[in-house]
Amino acid sequence: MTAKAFFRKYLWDLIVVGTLTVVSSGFAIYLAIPKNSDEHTANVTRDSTALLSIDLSLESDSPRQIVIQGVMTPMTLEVKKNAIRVSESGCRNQYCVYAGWVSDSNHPIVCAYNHVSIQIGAASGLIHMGTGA
Amino acid sequence: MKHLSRFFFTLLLPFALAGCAGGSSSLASGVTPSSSGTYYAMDTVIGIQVGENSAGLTSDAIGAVFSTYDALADNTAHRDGVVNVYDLNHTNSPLFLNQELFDLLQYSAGMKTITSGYFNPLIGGLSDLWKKDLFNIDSSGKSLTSSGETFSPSVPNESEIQTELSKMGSSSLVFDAASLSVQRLGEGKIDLGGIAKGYAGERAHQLLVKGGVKNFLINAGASTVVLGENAKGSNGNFGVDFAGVKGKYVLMKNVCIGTSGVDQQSAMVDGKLYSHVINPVSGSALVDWYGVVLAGQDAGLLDAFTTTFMLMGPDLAEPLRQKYSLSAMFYKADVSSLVNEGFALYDS
Repeated sequence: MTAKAFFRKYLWDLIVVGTLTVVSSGFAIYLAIPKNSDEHTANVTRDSTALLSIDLSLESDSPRQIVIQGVMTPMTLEVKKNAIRVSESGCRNQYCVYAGWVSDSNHPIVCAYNHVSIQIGAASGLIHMGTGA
Repeated sequence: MKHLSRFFFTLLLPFALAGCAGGSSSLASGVTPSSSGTYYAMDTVIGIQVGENSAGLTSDAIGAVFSTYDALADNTAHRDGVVNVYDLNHTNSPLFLNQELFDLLQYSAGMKTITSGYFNPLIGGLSDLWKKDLFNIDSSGKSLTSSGETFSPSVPNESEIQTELSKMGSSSLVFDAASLSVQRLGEGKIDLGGIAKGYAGERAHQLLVKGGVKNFLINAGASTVVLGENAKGSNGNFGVDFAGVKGKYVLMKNVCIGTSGVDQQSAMVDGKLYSHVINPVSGSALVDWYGVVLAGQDAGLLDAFTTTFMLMGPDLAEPLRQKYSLSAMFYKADVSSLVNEGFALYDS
């Protein structure tokens, strides 16, 4: 079979294969590229499900409130320029409230009672060890 | 028909190739794929990653270890279907326990001996006293301060402290290995908050090691970390940094790390800093060292030793550090106070 005959016979096959190869390769490359770390973005998750992603650099100096539903109780978050805190929670220990305003990735806020985590910025790849019991 | 089947074949081929390129090679039969998850136990968030293995271990199985000890070590409420620390604290009669709680209590009692009393599983009453005055938290672990309300911390008076020290000192645990029973004698209240998480981490660690799992990570509330090898890290290492040791990190693998510190659970009274770490020898919660980081091979030991070492300080703790081949860091308010014994630190 000549090359011309081959391409004539398999033209559509080659188009389909080529298109899908390009699309899937592009997708794979997109997934492989590290996304930009944004130290000003607060990511709020409940049971590993993203609830909110807030660009704190766009907030004003005056705090505004956001109410989210934890697993057990509602929680009130306050956000202002480059900072976030839990102002109210129905959890028993109130550790999340006592954590106060946080502005960097080294100080995530966790409410274990409500299964809610608040992390500023993208993961650096380092495991951050805090101060536990 | 021939063209149709060829069309679907060509349609699926790139996805198959992309899958191979992504590294997710097909698993041999009997191999459990890698898994990860976030779990909640012991008032904290526990992140678990388990690499592929032939032992059938998953992150859920490791998470279940923490759930088990969460129920057993709970001293704030009875749990259905199991005898736990709460039950032991409400009777002076012997109770028949399951093997896990029996072993945990024996391990805790052994820690009291090893640390010359700087770790004491019967510290519950003293701990409740300080938590009430410093943080307004009652004996069930519930905050008595409403959201938005301001609480002014105080310090218990000396007679209250001596009363609790006396209760603790005159109490003991009696073990009967044959019947798996434990009897609490006296009014001392069992509190395993300073050891249960690390102990559960060590049980999980042993499961993973015995299962031949190479790649794993357990991050239990950022105060107990158990590391295997990092499949994505340089030479299998994980990078770890610490809240109290600013600007530095370590690279480690196949190790347990424990931390204890005051920065999230402390209160200032009359210009003095107090914390949740209470000295069972003196009864004081006054802060000297702000935090300790330890690395070794037993997460349970590290959990008990971090609070113990904070109270002892580097000099008094040195014989224990050497005996158990631990790396240790002690720090106060700033990094210039750092005492480092055995950690290779890198600037971040």
